[in-house]
Amino acid sequence: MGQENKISNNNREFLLSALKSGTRVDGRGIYDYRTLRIEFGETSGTVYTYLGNTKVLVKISSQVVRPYVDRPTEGIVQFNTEIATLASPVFDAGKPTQMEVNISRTIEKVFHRNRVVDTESLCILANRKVWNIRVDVHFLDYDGNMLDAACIGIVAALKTFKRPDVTVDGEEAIIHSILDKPPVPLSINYAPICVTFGFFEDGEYMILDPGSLEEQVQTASLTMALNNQSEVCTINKAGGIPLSLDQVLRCIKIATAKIEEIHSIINEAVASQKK
Amino acid sequence: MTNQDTKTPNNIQRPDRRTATQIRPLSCKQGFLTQVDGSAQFAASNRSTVICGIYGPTEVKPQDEILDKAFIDVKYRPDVGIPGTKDTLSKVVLRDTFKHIIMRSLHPRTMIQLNFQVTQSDGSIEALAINAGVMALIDAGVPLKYTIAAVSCCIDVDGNALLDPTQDEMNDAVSIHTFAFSNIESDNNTPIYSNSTGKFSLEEYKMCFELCKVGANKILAFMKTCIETKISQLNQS
Amino acid sequence: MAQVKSHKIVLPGEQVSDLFENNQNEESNNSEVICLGPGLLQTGDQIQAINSGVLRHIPKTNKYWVQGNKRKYTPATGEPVIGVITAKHAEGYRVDIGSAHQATLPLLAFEGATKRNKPNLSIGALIYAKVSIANKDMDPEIECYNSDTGKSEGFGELKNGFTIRASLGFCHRLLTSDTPILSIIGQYLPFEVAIGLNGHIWVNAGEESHKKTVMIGNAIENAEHLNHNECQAMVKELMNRA
Repeated sequence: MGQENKISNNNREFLLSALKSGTRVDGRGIYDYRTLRIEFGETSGTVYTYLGNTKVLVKISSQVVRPYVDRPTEGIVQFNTEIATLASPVFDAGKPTQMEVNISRTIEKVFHRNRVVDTESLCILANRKVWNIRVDVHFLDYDGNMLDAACIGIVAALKTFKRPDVTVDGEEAIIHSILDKPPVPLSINYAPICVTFGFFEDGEYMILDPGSLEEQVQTASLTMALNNQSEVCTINKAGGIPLSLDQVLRCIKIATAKIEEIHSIINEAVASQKK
Repeated sequence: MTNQDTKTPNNIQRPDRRTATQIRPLSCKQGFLTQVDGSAQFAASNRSTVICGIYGPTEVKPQDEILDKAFIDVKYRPDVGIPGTKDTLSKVVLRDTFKHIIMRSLHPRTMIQLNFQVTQSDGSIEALAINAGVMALIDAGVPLKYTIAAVSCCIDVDGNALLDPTQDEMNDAVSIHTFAFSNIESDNNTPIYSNSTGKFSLEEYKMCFELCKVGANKILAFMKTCIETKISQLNQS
Repeated sequence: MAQVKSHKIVLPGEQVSDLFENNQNEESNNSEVICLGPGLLQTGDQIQAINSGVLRHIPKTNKYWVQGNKRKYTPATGEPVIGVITAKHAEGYRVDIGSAHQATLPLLAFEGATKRNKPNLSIGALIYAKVSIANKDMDPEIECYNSDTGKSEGFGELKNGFTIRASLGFCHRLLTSDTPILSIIGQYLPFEVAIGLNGHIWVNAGEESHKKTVMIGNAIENAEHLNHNECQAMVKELMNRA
């Protein structure tokens, strides 16, 4: 299918000239996020994230596996971020688009390389049994900025997921059913949240949380992941026009303010779930 | 409504307090996805959920083009993990089922694509996928020969037939049967879809057939109510 | 009138012949001939629905059809559409009008166009056109003028402005003028609008008023499920906020 160039010149020009007068095509402010809503499914670790019309489902599951030979005392955390055609006809299974690659790589960097989940706590028996935590990210509806929505969903899911409890008896590990023993939450070092900026023309015009039309018109994008202490974990600028240092520093300042808002929404949702 | 067969007594208590012939509470919403041409989510007691999104009739790849009818493409993704052999089977089964329901000759040289995404699985996914597909096709306005509804039934170790089984019930079952029936009255005894796995006798099969027929009619009535509510809400404006 | 009876909601596969008979009893004029519109199909001596929606009936012509609402456009002759030019060939433009196949727009299908003097549209240009050929086995063809009078009648290239998407049913309602939203907005702001039955609505409130254009677009999008009074309240609130 692949429908890349379907926006008209009118919409492209309107978007740019409106931006110059400080107006965005959906009426929100330059640094506004769309309405963020988090919903939890029936099973633990199932989270629906709605960012405007963008919808992402995150599902966490666990399984006992043999550890990697070079890391015998560490559990495994796996991410599956394939984008299905369901989200938008531009995504065709088997042929990952640049956006898809970018999203998977960024999620991998933000959560994996930063060691968000304490993998050593996932070890049951060194060399023999560890937990494999699988994070499936399903992109249901694409209206721009799926990365931020996915990150928020993953954080909310990691915070609420519970794996079955295990008791180790010598060389034997007994995995308890959820009915026998209360399941245990994951141990998380910190919660990084992504904030994505879009840039237009020569980088002079900057917006937060680009929608799908804005993503198609923008000339560069910058994603920043910050943790709850407002420390920068990852900065990802995948191609596009060059940005000045001032611009990047300004982004960090804006991101720091936005992260607090997003964290409070996540924490509120997580708290209401735990009740 | 009550089945005369002694093997399906209504006094069986299932773990979720249903009787043997009771289906889980259904919920369905349509048109909630923005990029597709039609969408639906079909859920049983919020524990088993399937989403279906339709594209079409849309442009078709030259190698898939059929001169006098629409090409039907199905994508199926499980809720956990990447699609495997089992999911490819579901995909083929769904494609062959919907091929017979969609009036393909009305949209020649096009493609109608059904994208299934299981979002929560607690049994009877096969049936829920068919139901979600039908509701999504209706939402997309794709011409259909008839509306169908599917429901599963399993025979447990004691020989009891249980309608709309959960995952636990399916795991312990001796045989699992899924049927889909259309809303055409004269076709009441001819299922559109039938799939049975496991070891079972002809009597057991017949018992499940009857049970599923009643269940499917309930689901058809539910679908009708869903669409009526949706349309009457729209017409209020 | 038979209208009351014909507000019945049908699902694909349902027989509608029974409903017809009821209607015919109430009417005296020419009940023999029944005209079937979209969403209905005759198989043998039965008539069944193939789409879901409200069964509508015009007693005068004894015409029946199923009125549904969808997002994917299937071209029909005479309908106004908004499309984007995707390619230019020797004999015409290819235009994306949201249907399964792209439409052809002949180079000379414009008001006053001659072989020497014809509009030159660039790829990505937005046009308002009328479907001239619609056939399931052929690619649709569109034109930017009335071929009988040779006048443009408002069709042609749309300059500036912004396009939004809406459901096909809503666009239909906007064009048949029983939806008040456009006139309500008109009470507050002057603006131009073009409605394509392919679910595209083009809005323009003038060169320098992006905010107004966005606002009008939002108001139209919001109005789909609102009645007259709700529309009025919604537009008033939007205007006050601005």
